[in-house]
Amino acid sequence: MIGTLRILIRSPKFIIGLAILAVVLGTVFVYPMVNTADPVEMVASGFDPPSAQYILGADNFGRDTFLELMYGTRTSLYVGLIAGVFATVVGLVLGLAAGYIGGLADNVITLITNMFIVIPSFVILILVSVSINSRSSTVTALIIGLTSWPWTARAVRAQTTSLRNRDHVNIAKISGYSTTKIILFEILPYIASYVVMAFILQIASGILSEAAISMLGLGPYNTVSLGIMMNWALMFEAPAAGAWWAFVPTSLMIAAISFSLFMMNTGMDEIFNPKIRN
Amino acid sequence: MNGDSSIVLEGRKLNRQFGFGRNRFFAVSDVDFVFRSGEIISIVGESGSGKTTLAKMIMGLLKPTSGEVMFRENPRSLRTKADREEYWKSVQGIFQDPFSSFNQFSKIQTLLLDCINLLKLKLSEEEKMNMMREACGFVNLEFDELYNKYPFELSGGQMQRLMIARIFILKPKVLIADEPTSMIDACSRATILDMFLKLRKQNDMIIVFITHDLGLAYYVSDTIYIMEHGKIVERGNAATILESPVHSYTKRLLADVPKLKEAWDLG
Amino acid sequence: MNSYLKYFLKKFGWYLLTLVVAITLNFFLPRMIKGNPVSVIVSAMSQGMSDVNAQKKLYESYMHQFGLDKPLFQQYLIYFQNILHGDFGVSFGNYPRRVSNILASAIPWTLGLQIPAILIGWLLGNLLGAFTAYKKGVFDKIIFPAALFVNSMPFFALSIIMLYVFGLHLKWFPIGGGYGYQMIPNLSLSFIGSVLQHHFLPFISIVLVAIGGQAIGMRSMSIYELNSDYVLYAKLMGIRDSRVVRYVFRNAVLPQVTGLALSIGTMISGALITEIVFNYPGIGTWLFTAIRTLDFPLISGCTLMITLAVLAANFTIEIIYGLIDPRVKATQMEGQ
Ligand SMILES: Nc1ncnc2c1ncn2[C@@H]1O[C@H](COP(=O)(O)OP(=O)(O)OP(=O)(O)O)[C@@H](O)[C@H]1O
Ligand SMILES: [Mg+2]
Repeated sequence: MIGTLRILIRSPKFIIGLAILAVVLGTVFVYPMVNTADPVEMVASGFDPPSAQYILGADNFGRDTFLELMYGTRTSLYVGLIAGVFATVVGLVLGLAAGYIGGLADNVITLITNMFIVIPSFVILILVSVSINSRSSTVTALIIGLTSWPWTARAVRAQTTSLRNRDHVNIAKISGYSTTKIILFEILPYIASYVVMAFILQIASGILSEAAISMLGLGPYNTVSLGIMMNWALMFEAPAAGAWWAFVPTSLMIAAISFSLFMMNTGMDEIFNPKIRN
Repeated sequence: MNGDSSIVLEGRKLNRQFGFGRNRFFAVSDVDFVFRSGEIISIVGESGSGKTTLAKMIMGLLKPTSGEVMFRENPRSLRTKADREEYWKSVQGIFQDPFSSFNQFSKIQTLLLDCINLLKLKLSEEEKMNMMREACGFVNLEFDELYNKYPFELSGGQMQRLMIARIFILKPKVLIADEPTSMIDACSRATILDMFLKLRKQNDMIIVFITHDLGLAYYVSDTIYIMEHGKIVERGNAATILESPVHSYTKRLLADVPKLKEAWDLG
Repeated sequence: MNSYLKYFLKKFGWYLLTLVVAITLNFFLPRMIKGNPVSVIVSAMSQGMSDVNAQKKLYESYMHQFGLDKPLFQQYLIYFQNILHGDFGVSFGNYPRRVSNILASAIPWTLGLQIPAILIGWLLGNLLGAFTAYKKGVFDKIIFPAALFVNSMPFFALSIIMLYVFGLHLKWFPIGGGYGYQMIPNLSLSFIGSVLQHHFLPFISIVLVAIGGQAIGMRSMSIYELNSDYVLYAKLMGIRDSRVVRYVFRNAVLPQVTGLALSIGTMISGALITEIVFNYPGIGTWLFTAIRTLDFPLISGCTLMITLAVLAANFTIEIIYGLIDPRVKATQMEGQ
């Protein structure tokens, strides 16, 4: 574990990604402690330009955009994280089941996985969201996770299928290991790095999905997220009002977070797959 | 060898099919065998002839498509956990590739501790350590230097010797050795073969060598099974098969081992 | 050819099955959670319409058309039957316009925007990716993070920034719609010119993000190929660089075709939101309106169209893949 971290630290891509993420996390969690104002309080008039007091001006409601951005990022990160955990757990369980048990279970799970990779998750996201009236950010996150597990499941299945026939698994079997023990000690350690990488991608895609679904007006209720801020900027015609501060920082924030996660993933990929190192 | 020693393991019309429909083919078909206690057997065949598939079925790692394995004259059952543990206490294996036989994420001692646990012996930590130390001593390894290491810190020969140490602890009735020396340098090969023979002398177990080397088979075994395309095409006493092979495939295999007697005259 | 026909039929069957599953989800997902669809429709209607008479007529036509008083499973069969006849019901928000009519007017816009944008983005992205992998060095160090950054940005975020900079600030391009609002669609040059002008910004936003994503994938594929043994061997043999590059490109682009199939759903969805930003008269904008007015028949029609488009795109790609990949044989299709 420590050894893995030590290797990762030598990848510049991983470090850059981690550093950006750390800066974002630091700002987003520390700033609201310094500025304890309520993010939804209307402190200025609509689309007030940036000033010394409000460095990113005000949004359409006259709220402090910078403060709102901090809270919005927190919500988006939370949604991405929960969606990522959910998708990873479901994908891991199904992928392991299909890959390890094989036979009919494999066929059924693979069929379903492939179908849900092809049926656009965006559509399922809309269909489910539209029919749930009051969505908390957790519910939104779970809906997103529900649509994104197939990617993880497919990768885990492929890895597990090839590991299942390895001799160390056979040795474990004839040493009397139970199936659970084999999966925990003989399969999981080998796929752990892939699962972590897939998890990182799932967080990024969860954040992007939240933004997309909120853009459509199907995001979480009673909260501020990056997608919701974008939705407001569009609905209240911030571009026409010339209020770039209402959407440019938000766009860059979404991009910065997913960029940092993609960077970390690429860095890890280069380390664990030496063949794609340039 | 001698017809009156008891039958430990018996295979009846074992088949194993892979794939379905047009891709279907039989890796092992209609294989019968009888392993009697104290016997050393070799199963010889070219690459792809189905040796590993047969070995896995004997070890209970692969379900036969049809046919039956008799264990101590009763149909083998692997249904319950107790059944399986009982079987694997008596029938054990060693595989071709020592590198893939080790879990790269567990320490060396885990491998040996698992065997002690399989035996369900009530031992103190100290006694377990001593048991593992003794097993390593048997294969000329220093347990105290090794037990805390990871597999990637060992050489292939050391790994395969640890696999023998495993067998030393378990003392099974039957050992299936699937090309145990094919990935090891010639030097360690002779040592490892000697360890097998020593092990057998101490425990009176059946060893089934799986190999594509008819010379080696002759050197170590009493009985030889010749396998081609999933079928046993010839079987019998090692010396008889070597001196008067019947099947053309055996003759061809024999032609690949020119100076047989000299080559294996290691003693 | 016989084995290709088999491949084709097998894929076709699989996609047909997937389509049936998707239609089933389209029917059951909203109903599973909401419960009684009648009440949903009634409440949606009272929100969207003021004319009491029209409301009543709509209600009755729905009860009749969808058999809303019948058991759920029977409703499902009716729904399926209607879809096969291209009947998606009447829009709540645009009464008495039929959903099929709205979709028919929107689809050409969406296709005209997305197909060229995605294809060009894919092509340019792959060239760029292969180029960075081959050039390495400083070039790779700049292009790769830039491509990754553009790819990290949702389509609509880039769109809204483009809209602001080029549409509102610099006033180079119109800021919304599919054509000048004072125009009536016809085949005159001025109308076509207006369409192209309106087409440009959304088109470029989609192309840019697509380039980013494809370039990243192609880059790592090419590096993988460039590091493989056959390239080393070819170099040792003194085979010309340009020929090696051609080989590498061909081997790396095959997985990228599959990559396109896998990412096309995400791309199409993202591009749909771009339409909203530019108020482009395609499916995306209609979907947005439908969601705001709780126009369920229109939402359902749009999601079904999107699913159909994504499945069709995937199917087409796989069929083409089967033609260009010599390795596709009956035995290698077991995955799906
Ligand atoms: N899990 C499997 N699925 C499909 N085919 C298999 C599987 N395992 C083995 N086979 C096929 O069965 C045949 C016999 O394989 P097996 O491994 O038993 O041969 P072998 O005699 O041990 O060869 P070698 O000397 O190379 O180890 C081969 O053609 C192999 O491709
Ligand atoms: Mg073998």
